[in-house]
Parts: sequence; C-alpha cells; structure tokens
Amino acid sequence: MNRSSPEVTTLDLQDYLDGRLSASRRVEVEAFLARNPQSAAEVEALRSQAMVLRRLGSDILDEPIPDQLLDLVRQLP
Amino acid sequence: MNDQRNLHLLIEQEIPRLRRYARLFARDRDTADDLVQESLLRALSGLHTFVPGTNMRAWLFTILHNVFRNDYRRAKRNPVQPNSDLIADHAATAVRGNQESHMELTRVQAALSTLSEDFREVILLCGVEGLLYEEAAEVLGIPVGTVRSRLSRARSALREAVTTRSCLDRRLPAPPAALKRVAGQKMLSKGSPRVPAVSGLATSLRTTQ
Repeated sequence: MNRSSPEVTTLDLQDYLDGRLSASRRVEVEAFLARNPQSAAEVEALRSQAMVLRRLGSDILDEPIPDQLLDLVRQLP
Repeated sequence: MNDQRNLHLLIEQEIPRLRRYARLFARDRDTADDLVQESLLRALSGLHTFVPGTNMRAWLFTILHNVFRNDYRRAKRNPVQPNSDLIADHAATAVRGNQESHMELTRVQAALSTLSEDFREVILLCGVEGLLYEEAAEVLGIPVGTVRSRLSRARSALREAVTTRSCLDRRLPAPPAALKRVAGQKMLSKGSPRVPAVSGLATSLRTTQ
C-alpha cells in the first residue's frame, strides 16, 4: 500500500511540491501538513533539495561551447 | 533554408543544457562531450523528423538519452564506481568555494553520482533541467506515472545519499537509520523515523560527539 496516512501519501507530497495538485486537493494537503509537522518537515527537506538541484551544474551552463560542437550546428548542408 | 537555419539556432541554444546533462550523467568530461557531439550529429541528420512547433529541448534530450542507452552503457567499463574525473572536479570545486551552499552543491552532486542510472535520469531531467513529468516521460519512453513514482523514490534515495555523504565528509558515523533504510521504499508516516534536514542532522551529530 502506498498510504502513509488515511489521507496523504508521499506521492501527494511530491505532487504538492511540484505544483501538480488540483486547488481542492492542495487545500487538503495543506491542512494535513498543518496537522503533521513531521510531514511538513519532509516537504521542506524536499523543497530545499529541489532548490539545490536547480543550481546543479550551472557552472557547466556558463562554459563556452566547445568549437567542435558549435561548428557542427553552424555548418549548413 | 531559413527554417533550417532557425532549427539549427534552436539546437545551438540547447547545447549548454545537453552538455550539463551529459557531464552530470557520464561523469567525465571527454565522454560527455563525445556523447553530445554524437547526439548533435544524429539530431542534424534526423532533423526532418522534428515536428516544428513541438518541444526542441525534449526532442534533443530524447536523442541524447538514446545515445547514452546505446553507446555509453555499452562502452563503459565500470558502471558503479564514481569516475575519478568527478572526484577531481569536486576537489577543485570544494577548494574554490568555502561557502556552505557551495559545499552542499558539491555534496549533492557527489551523492547523485552514487545513484542508479534510472534514478539519475529522472533527477537530472525533472530536478535539474526542470522538465515536466510529461516531457521526461517522452524522453525516457516510459509512462508519466512511472516518472512520478520513480522521481519520488529517486529523491528519497538522494536524500539518503546526501545524509550519508555529509557524515563521511565530516568523519562522523552515518546515522543507523540512513544506512538501514531502503531508499525510496519508506513511506511517510507518523511512526517512521524522521530523517532531519541534512545540515541540521550534521550539526546535531557534531554537538553530541
């Protein structure tokens, strides 16, 4: 069973975090989190992980593109 | 001709993201750029199959993913151990950045490299590149529901790995819970042992040492 409590599962919490819940379900999950500080802490931990992941490899994005890759897409047939 | 040029421009704009994905996935720089190069070649030769107006990023990631599946997995010799390039990268990064946030970034990247390929894929596509579940499902060729559940398990596994790693970094014993728990299989419940936020855990362990 994928149920942690009668009402909210881990996947629900992820959907909440990722903004994939309907408005009515979001209200239910928020009410659940208000009653369950432990789950609220889980959500916060996931949220902070998500923020770190967003920045992962940003230094690679800033690197100049190697010439051999640029040449590939810049030459037209 | 202009259409062709526009498509090439669209592809060029995605190169940095393709390189990031490849680097974080393949773990060493040369392999990563080889795979990006091979992916670009395939994209360009298959450009007629791209439907204008659809998602170029998802299309390119699909190709990159297939190149990884077909080439990288066959070629690599050591599927489990983190590559030494990665460790060198981390050492360099760690020396450069003395801020806690930079350390955390380094830790998460190192922890990510210890996860299975299935987990790394969804973390990189959804967590790092910010693809929607639907887009990641298209890239990976799996149902959206599988992306959703796999991502959830991958996030748990990543948290476990970061916790363990942060204890290693600080030469502290990992909390028994982090070692024993089967990553991703534990559901949240009032009765389950809580894994605190990483920094909080490390701090509390340190003060009890």
